[in-house]
Amino acid sequence: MLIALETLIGGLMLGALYALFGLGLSLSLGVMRMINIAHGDLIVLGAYLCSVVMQMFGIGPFLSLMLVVPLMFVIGMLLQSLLLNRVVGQGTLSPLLLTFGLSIVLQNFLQETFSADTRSLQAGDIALRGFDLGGVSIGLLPLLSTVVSVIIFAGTSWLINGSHLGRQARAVADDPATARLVGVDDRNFYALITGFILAVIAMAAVLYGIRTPFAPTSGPERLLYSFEAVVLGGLGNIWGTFIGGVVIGVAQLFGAKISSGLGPFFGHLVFLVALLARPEGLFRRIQR
Amino acid sequence: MTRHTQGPDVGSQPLPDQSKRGFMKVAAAAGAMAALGRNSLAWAANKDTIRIGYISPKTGPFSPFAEADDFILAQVRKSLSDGLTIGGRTYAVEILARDDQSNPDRQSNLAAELINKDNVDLMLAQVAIGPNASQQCELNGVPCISTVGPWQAWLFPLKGDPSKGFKNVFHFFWGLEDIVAVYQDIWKDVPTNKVVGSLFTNDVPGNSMGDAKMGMPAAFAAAGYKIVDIGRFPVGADDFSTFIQAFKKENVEIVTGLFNPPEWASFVKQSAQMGFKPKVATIAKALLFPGAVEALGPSANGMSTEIWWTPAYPFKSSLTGLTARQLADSYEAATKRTWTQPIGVVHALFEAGIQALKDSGNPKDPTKVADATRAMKLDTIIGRLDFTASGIKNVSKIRIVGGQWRVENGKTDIYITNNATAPEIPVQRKFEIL
Repeated sequence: MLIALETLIGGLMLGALYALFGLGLSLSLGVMRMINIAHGDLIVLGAYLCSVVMQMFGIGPFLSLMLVVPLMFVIGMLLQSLLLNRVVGQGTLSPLLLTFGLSIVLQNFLQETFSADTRSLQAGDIALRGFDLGGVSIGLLPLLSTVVSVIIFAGTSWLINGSHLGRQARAVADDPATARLVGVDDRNFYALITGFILAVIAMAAVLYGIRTPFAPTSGPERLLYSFEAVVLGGLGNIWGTFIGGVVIGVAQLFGAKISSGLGPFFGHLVFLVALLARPEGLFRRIQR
Repeated sequence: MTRHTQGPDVGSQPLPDQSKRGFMKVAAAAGAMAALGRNSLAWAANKDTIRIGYISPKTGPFSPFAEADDFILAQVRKSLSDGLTIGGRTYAVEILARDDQSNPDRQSNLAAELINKDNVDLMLAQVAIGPNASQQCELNGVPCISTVGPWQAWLFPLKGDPSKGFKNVFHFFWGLEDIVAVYQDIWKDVPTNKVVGSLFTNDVPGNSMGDAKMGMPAAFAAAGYKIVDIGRFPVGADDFSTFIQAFKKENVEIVTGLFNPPEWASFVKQSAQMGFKPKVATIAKALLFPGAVEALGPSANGMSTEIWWTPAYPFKSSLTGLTARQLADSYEAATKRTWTQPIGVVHALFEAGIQALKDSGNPKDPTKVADATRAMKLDTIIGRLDFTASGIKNVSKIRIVGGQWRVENGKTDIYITNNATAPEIPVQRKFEIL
């Protein structure tokens, strides 16, 4: 019983991280109707940036975010205004192809710059500490990741649903042309959103890089989990993405209990079954 | 010499996966092949030139094994710059290096191309991903020497028989029985409860090394260890809580198995978080490369693994005369990177290849080169290779010993701690429980 509880808690915490991977994807789908295939590679890029900043200034991974988050924000704005804005709104295929190419460029850029070696972000003691709660052991880092993930989700949810910026986002998402009529410059706005997405990615990247070592080619796997979280939760539904990530995390860990080699398989299986039963995702996007 | 191309993989498109990486590789390879093809035409049919084909995973997931290729090739080419005099005749030596991109199908295609288009006299190959180059050579009657891969993973996929061997292909490396001996040597003096938790990747090497009847767990169980094994883990796994729970429950004090570096790092972190502290961790593959061990940080201190070669090996190269220490130093000076264990082994591959050509009396006669290899006893930078004495036809064993990683003053180094398997290699430090 205790073991099952420990597995459940472990799954929730793993899932919260998967959900955070998916948040950026959820936003770009929800606001720009754009699937970013390079999403996973951008997470890896963020992790490498952290590693570089940490080495340059001799600081820890969390402190490095002070520099990496603004940096990623700027990269995001430039990426959107120089590149992605050319394809937004031109059907689903063009953004897909463009970001597909971007993914290959990013992977090879990282490989060229940082070689194929795996790296990890050293957080020191914090990554190794855990505590025992009545026979259930909980890692400090996974717990911290979960808290950070929930805070970012809550913040993003408020931003989209409760703020002026969010009203603009929803307006642009619903009808870019009309939004333009009432004075919202959708192109500039998209740049802002992508900047925000990359800032979120930077935070996910730090938690990821502390937890698991990464290599230039680790991106696509991150994309897969992100994608499942987003689709499972329902396209464009922010808290849905969170629940989606958590469901996959829990399914993976209980799956590993059934057969140790098949944890990720059970994650994918739950995704597939849920998709068959509810193609629109667990939580449908709120009708407007 | 007859040359057919009837290998199962020849002629198939090198597109095993449709991923973008796969596509990239093919595109890049097409360009590379076009460029190389032009160069090699100039050399065609030169009777005074010996051509050696060399295939290794220069890129892709197995690239760390070939990381030192450029450096080793430069040294070997330099040592051969005056040519090789064999049987009173001086030959120029050309080495055609190819990158199989960690893809066995590509390895087949490259081998077939080197054999049929470039007419190589000898093939050398790294076969960590599978013995496809050896297969092509055996079919086409070209002598081949390979390494980097337990001999079982080379011989059995080729449908070989240890008592019969092959006509043209040879291999040198350790086998599962050697790594088992090394691990037991490491553990024998350590006071533990002899409960071993074992974890292996769910892939070809993991399943063969971790096989409950034929693999390492069976050998440990036979030696009196209690094995806790709840199954394989998927490649790329980032959660090991199921295993750690089981290991805690069974009071495991020794952890062993086969990991890729990222998986091992995840296991180590999660073990610490869940309060699982094994006394000994002896792991294959994940602890081979200094870069991966450094990524573990201070927690790598005290972990142990098998050693294929270190600068402390008391041997020198038959090609360049450099000692193991000098080879490592020259590598570090030339590349500003830390030495790795495969450097010695890959260097020895060229030593063996050149020696086979020298011993053959006629390097242009494939049968003579193969016969020379079959009878070869050669002192190399990794110690003596002996193709006559391993008990397995066409295979020479290499020396492996036990080593322990130590992280001291921010520097990560591996030391030889146990040498019962190869007493001529001196112990550097005592194994310590940390």
